[in-house]
Amino acid sequence: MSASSVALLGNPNTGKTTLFNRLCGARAKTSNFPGTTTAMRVGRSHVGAEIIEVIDLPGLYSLQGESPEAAIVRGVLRGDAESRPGAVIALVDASNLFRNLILVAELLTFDEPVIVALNMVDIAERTGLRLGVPTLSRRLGVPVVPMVASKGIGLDGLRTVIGALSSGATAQVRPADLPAPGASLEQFTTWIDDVLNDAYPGGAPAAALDARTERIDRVLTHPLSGTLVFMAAMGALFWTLFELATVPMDLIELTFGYLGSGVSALLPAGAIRDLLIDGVIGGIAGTVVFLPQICLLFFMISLLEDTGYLARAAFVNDRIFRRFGLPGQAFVPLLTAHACALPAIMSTRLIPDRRDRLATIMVAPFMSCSARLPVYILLTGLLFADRPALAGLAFAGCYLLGSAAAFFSAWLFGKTALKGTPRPMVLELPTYKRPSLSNALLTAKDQGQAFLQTAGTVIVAICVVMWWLSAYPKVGAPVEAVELRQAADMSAAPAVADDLRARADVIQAKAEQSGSFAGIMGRTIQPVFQPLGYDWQLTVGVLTSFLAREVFVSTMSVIVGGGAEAEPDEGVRQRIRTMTRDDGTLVFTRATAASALVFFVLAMQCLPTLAVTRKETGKVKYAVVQLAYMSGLAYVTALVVYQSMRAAGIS
Amino acid sequence: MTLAPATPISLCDLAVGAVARLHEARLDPESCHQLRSLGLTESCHLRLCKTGEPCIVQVRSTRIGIAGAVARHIFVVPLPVGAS
Repeated sequence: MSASSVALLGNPNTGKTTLFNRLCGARAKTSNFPGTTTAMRVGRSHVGAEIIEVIDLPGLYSLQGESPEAAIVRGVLRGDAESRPGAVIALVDASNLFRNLILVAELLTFDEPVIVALNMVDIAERTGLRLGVPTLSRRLGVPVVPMVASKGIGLDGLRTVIGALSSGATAQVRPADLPAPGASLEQFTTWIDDVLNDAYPGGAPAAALDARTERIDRVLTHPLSGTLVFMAAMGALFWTLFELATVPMDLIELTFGYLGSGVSALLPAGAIRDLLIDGVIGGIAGTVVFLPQICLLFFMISLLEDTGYLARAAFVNDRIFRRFGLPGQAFVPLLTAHACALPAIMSTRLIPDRRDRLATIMVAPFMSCSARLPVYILLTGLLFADRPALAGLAFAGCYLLGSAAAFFSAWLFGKTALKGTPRPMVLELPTYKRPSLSNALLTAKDQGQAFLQTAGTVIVAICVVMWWLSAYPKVGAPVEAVELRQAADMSAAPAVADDLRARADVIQAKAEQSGSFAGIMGRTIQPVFQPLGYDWQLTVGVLTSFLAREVFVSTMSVIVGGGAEAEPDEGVRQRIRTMTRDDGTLVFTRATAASALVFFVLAMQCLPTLAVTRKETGKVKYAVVQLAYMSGLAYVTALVVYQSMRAAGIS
Repeated sequence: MTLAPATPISLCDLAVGAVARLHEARLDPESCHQLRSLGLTESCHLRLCKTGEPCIVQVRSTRIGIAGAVARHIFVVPLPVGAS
């Protein structure tokens, strides 16, 4: 038994995260429990002169049953002598003692020394609950430490008890009347009833109604007012997310831009410089730029969860979502996916049932993320070049199509690969509380760190590979570019020379794109996209955008001889609009533009998302199915759109 | 979980604010376990706080949101007014 470690156990909504953060501060590390995708936080805490390890076990209501969380905790408690914690701190909510103590009673049937941390005693006292702590301690046969974790009250007392147990100074004897291991929940219930009748002077009080919670719930869980509040809350959340995250995102892009320029100035031109600037720095920038949105989102979700509102929002959405095979809790990931699918998939950890979680992960990337915006703007502009109102409608239609595809696919998965209906909601609605700012900050830090450590490394590797495919093999400068540069060298007017060199650069970039592995693949694969109306140039654009959708705009811009900007100017847009196929006809007919737009709404064109899907599901097959299903659906739908429009004479 | 016979009704048919004793939950073992671990154990007293889909019940100090698909399989015996 490891005397220098303690595990933290408790029901959900008892302040376990708050206590963990109070004990360990910001020094915690997040990983997964061995062989699972359940997150485990491990931190270190000072107890006297010693430093002990604190393991945050998953929140759960009972050690019995088949849930993954119960299996993990039982595994920890029954682990080998080396890996078992030296003691278990059972955190209980003093204002909801009866249900919390059932878990403690189950825990007492194991051999580990137990400390009961009686949290939120201030709330219990405010509601008139007066508990005899020494009696409770005597009946349970373990130390009971009253505390208010959110204010740090009782923390010293808890550390003292941990220290005494770690040093082996106190031995614990289990109560003689404790139900035997494996007893039913009813037997534990009867025993806890008896314990509490003793511990409360005058007997256990009848459960009081929380008038405030009743009042607020009447509004927040009402089908109409609850939905309105939900929409307002989500609107505020996304407004904050987009508004506040923009500043650090711009700063990150600027910083990496300067870094690239610095490296460019330091190193001579060549493969190493290209690899560092376009592959490594570009890849890291493309990863880190998501960080502000991810941290901010988890910060706000943590605040909402702390208040107790998240459970009510799930409650309101459950009725609608369940018709499509999704649980009510899926609303957070699906809304988050409108910003970015990466944090959306990470936030599915809020969903307890694995089938429900998988269904949500599989469909979340259908929601139109912010990376699709520049593509939508370009393609709706091409589709309705002279009718901005219709272009606006098409733009809104993209969002609707993505959402419809997500719900349809969830329904379809529920009938096939993920058979079964979502587990009907049975959800504790915790009492409303003031959220903890420090908890939210630490959650944001942990989630950001986890994103960088896991997804980040994969994303950078993918970016380097895709850069290589787009940059190699190197092709010689086209004759036209060489001649333009010669003309620039001979020109006496600096402005004219600069213009000639810029044109030469553009021509060379286009030739490099065409001659690269990506370009060669575009020409080779083009017959596959022919039925959708795509020529080799558009096929290259589609292929490179499998790295990330927004790459499509810069690729098309390069192909028509513009720069690699994500937002091309009007001149470049006009060139894209008028770009021609090898036979001289327009690439972007109305049918082709509509087909491409539909393809980009539905296709899985984000390798980082696939990396996160693999990580969060624990299996490669889900990422493969996601890629194949989304891209297959995109292909078929785009095919139907293109061929129908052509058959209707719209081209 | 089956208890003493009385005149049980579905939780969906209980009036809002009424107190009842849990009689039986005709559900799969996992759902039964989930309810029991939240405090809905045999013979426990509960109060219906909100009707509809989903409904809200309070068991001791715990408020639980229950989907209609579960609630209609939970049978309770209404208790006289004033019971807790």
